[in-house]
Amino acid sequence: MGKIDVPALNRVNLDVEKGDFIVIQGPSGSGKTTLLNLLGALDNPTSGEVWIEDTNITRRKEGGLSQIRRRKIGFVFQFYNLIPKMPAIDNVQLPMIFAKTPRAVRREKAVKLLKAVSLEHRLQHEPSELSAGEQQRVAIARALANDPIIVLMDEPTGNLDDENTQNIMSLLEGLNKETKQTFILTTHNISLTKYANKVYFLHNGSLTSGPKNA
Amino acid sequence: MLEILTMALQNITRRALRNSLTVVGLAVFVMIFVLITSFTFTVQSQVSESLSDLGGEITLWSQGALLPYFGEIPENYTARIEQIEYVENASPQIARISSVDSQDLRLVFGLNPPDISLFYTYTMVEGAMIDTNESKAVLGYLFADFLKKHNGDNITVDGHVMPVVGVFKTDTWMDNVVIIPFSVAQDNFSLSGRASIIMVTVTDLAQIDFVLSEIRTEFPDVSVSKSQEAASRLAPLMSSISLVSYTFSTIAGIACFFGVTNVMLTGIIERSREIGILKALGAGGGDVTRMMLYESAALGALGGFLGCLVSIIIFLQGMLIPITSASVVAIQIFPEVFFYGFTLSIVISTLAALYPVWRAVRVRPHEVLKFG
Repeated sequence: MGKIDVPALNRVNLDVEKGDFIVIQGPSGSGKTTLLNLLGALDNPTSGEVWIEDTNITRRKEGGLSQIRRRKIGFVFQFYNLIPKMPAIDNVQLPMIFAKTPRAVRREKAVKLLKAVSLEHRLQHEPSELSAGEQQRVAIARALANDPIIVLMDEPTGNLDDENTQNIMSLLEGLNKETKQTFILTTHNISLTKYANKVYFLHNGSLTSGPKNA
Repeated sequence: MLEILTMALQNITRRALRNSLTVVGLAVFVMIFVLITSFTFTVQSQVSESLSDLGGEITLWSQGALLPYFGEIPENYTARIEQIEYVENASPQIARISSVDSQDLRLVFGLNPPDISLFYTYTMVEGAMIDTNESKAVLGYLFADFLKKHNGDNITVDGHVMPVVGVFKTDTWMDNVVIIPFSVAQDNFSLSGRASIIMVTVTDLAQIDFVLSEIRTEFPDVSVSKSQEAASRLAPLMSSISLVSYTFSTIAGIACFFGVTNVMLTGIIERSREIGILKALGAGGGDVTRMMLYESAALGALGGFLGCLVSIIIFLQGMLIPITSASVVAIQIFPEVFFYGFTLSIVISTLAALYPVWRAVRVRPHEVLKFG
């Protein structure tokens, strides 16, 4: 950070299998976001490698990383990061625009995804017209737009109340089972580990596996 | 590409106030460019046209006069010129600025009635051309319309009342002037024995250079040139006018360029999070570049259109500029000037976006999205 090197992760080894629903739990500052940035081709590690399927994505230039993000990875952020003043259906189509999906296919798929997250009646609503839970559902639909093999979620329920948290996690659990896509979720909330098939704990940059919370 | 263009246009509407101000700034530049350039082109066109419409093949005028009409030379040079071989006709003429009715600073011509049809092409809209040296006047039809005068009305030229005997049309700048007999002009303007210019026609155009040489030899105290060359004598003046006007336009363009750059850079800083989101969603550097350049080009097009539209409205109100000291003309509409202005607006706006785009492409998603 600045002129001082701060190790965010230390000797992290993580193997992810197709279809896993992994929850990585850790306190604030433990390195969760850094880990997701590396897994999601948003950043490069100072040492070590990151492989997605049989592709080494380490130390690629930004152009190559954006291509990988476009084709293989979906993101869900804590604060949704929807484009303001853009209707929900257009927000969901964004990744497909960059993947050059034809217009008719894009729109149909966006409608289908919003229906899957129970927002078929909110297609034309802008983020400011949606509740927190609804915005996060739109973000989830957007993350699934290009059929990514991995969906990375950085504290997706961190800004939601308990009821919405439960709803979102149930939705994610259902989608994971239905689509068989790999979900990796970071959180400080240990109660969310019950939704995962694999649980890891991140503390001071070190990753350890752990049991699911009953 | 169409999708990125659509996103760019949507981005413009999402920041309507800021982008409106940018568009207005570009429109102001286009207006300055169009008005100044149209003014320059009009002056050049009118002066060239007025000088080339002098009639005759050779013109004599007072040495050192900025424009041929506003000096004095001896009238008796006419008789001596007519003795030169190959000279067909020589006619003295007077041009003066005078009050006409309630209008100050209007151009009045004193012409010899028998010579008018030899040197000028005209049609009579009303009445007849002056044909004697009696005190009477004919008006160019534009001036007659302006004064609401007709054949038979009286007119006051420099305090002298005289009847209007005709209204003529030449389809040149002379449609804004008053013509009175040469001798009457000499009396009214106290120019006894003097003239403003002497116009000369030759019997054989192949001998024009010979006639010029003879006149120059006999009358070393006057300026003499072929009538078509009169306009070129003003080339340095016209070049200076062009230089000044283009300098003003360039300064306006540079100010506009930096203004747009500043606005877009501020926008990039504010939108860095949005750009980070787009990149996280798979947008490449090319996508971001295209989107932002489309935005800037669209703003340039809107500004160019608005600037041209307002300029046209101003022109249609009849913006007048003085061409000679006493005659005015409306700024002409040159379609190519509007095209240049519109294009310049797009070019400036797009160029101004290059550095902000370079900054935008370098936004690293994980840096701008790290705080949630």
